[in-house]
Amino acid sequence: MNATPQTLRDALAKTVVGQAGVLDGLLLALISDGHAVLEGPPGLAKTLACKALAAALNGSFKRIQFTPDLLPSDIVGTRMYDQRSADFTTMLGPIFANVVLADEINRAPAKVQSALLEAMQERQVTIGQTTHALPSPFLVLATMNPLDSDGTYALPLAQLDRFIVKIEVSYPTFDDELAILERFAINSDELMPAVATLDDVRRWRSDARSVHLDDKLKRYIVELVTATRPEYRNPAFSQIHGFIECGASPRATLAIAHLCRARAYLDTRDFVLPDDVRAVAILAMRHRVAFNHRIITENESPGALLARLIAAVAAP
Amino acid sequence: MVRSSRTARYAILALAALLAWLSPRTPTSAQSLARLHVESFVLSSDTKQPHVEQPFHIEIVIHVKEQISNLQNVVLPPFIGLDILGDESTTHSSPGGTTYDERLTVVAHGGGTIEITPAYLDAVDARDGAPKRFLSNALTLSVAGPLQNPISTFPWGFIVSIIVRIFETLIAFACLGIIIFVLVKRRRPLKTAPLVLPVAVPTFVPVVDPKGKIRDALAALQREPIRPNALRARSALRAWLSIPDGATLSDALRYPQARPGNVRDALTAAERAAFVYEDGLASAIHDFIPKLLEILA
Repeated sequence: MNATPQTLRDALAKTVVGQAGVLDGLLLALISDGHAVLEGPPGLAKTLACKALAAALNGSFKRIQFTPDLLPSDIVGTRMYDQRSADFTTMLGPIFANVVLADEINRAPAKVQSALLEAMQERQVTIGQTTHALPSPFLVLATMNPLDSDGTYALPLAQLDRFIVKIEVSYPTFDDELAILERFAINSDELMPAVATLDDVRRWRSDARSVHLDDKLKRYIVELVTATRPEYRNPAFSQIHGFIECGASPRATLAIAHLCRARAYLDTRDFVLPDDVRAVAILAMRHRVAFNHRIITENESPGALLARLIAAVAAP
Repeated sequence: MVRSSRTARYAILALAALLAWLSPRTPTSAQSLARLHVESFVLSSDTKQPHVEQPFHIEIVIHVKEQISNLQNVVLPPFIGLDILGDESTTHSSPGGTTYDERLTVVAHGGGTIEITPAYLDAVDARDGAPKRFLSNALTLSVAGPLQNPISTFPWGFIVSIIVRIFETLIAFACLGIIIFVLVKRRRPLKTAPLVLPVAVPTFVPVVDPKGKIRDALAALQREPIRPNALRARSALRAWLSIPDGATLSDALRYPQARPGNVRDALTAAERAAFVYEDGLASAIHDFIPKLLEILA
């Protein structure tokens, strides 16, 4: 098929209206070989975007609806006793798919979340005494609803760190909502046909890894990440540091490096620009910086604070 | 004899003080000037061919290396033939320095050519510690539309200002006469310290070639097409456009002075030459040089 990421983006944009930022975030996670968590109120096409991506890739797709009574074996699989053969057989769980949609991940208890996140990190699952490799490419797209916090289990920072990006989904514009009304009044279930193959995805990942990242930009990435850490005591950021409990980890540095290469590749460039770094920095750090209570008492937004911090670091 | 010579001395001192007050304004004394590293000073308008009765913008952008909260001593040129409808200024500080941006909304009431003389800024040059007057570029606008009515082009404002000046001078002479009269009448020796006239600070007005740094950097790049020279040319181009060093390409392209197509192309080519991989550098510089030549043309 030899499709390009632009083909996939165009195809997704036909299904998901007015969420260009979400689609770009999903594509960046896909090309960077990472996983994405999407947060936003219900009804903003989070699930639709994930389903559309899976359909467009012609890969296997599984959806897991996270609930409080879910068990780890419901995700990874289990060994069952077969009475006819008088032996144990392995039943692989829904995690064995190219694209896994973990819907409302914060509704399941910690042990279930841990099972999923461990599989995401290790790319393999051990059931009984046998280790099973997960398919490649393997992409987990998790959704979270920030509003109904009753009966939810918030993901700790260490677990959120496993996701390469956190995408915040916001309401569409007036015109986009009109377009949604026009399109989905006719057929709400129609998904697009596949426009790319799993081999295409592997090729994109390999090409993106070879995109040039200049030394000046590597320094810029480290400056951005260290700027989030209050212990560096940079007086230029002391006001914002007053809101930060814990800065971004070196995993954020690696994530920004992967993501900015992917962004340059999406833009059909074979070298990274400072704009790429700045654009992906917030996606990679939003869920990796812990804010303290002042963010609530002083009615600040984590995204706005991070954006101010990123803007204050001079690009090369 | 002694009395008449003392009276004459007082009269000369008072006259000198009056003349100093009446003389054209010189830059503020060096002590009150800010010590600045002025990197660029650009006077621009969003159109070179405005239309009669259609408001447009004139912008003064100054970039200094220091981080300061406000920029004093910026003197705007007279906008003869234009009415000022609004004036807003912002000062933006970043690690790369401070950008002062003053934006005037103006309107022309008649057609023809309008020459706007350079704006200036008096400051102590941080490079050599000397007080200087930094000048922006001049601006020529060609206003499209019917020529201005001869009555309305008559410089009434200028004549009124001259009359006011003459009136002020007469009042000053009258005051001076009263002072001399009172002093002579009292016939007392003055015990106060002799009046010391302020020493005029000689001002050095440098000949500013706004594109000089680009020209130098381009020559170096043509001589030796290597990355540091490409970065120097990129920096010179951004300084000429009053774009701070810490801005990304998309930030730079948002500046009004980066709107023309050739400037956008040059900024984009500069970015490529700055960050492309080593094997692609020669081609990127090869693409960058003609863009710079076009800017200099």
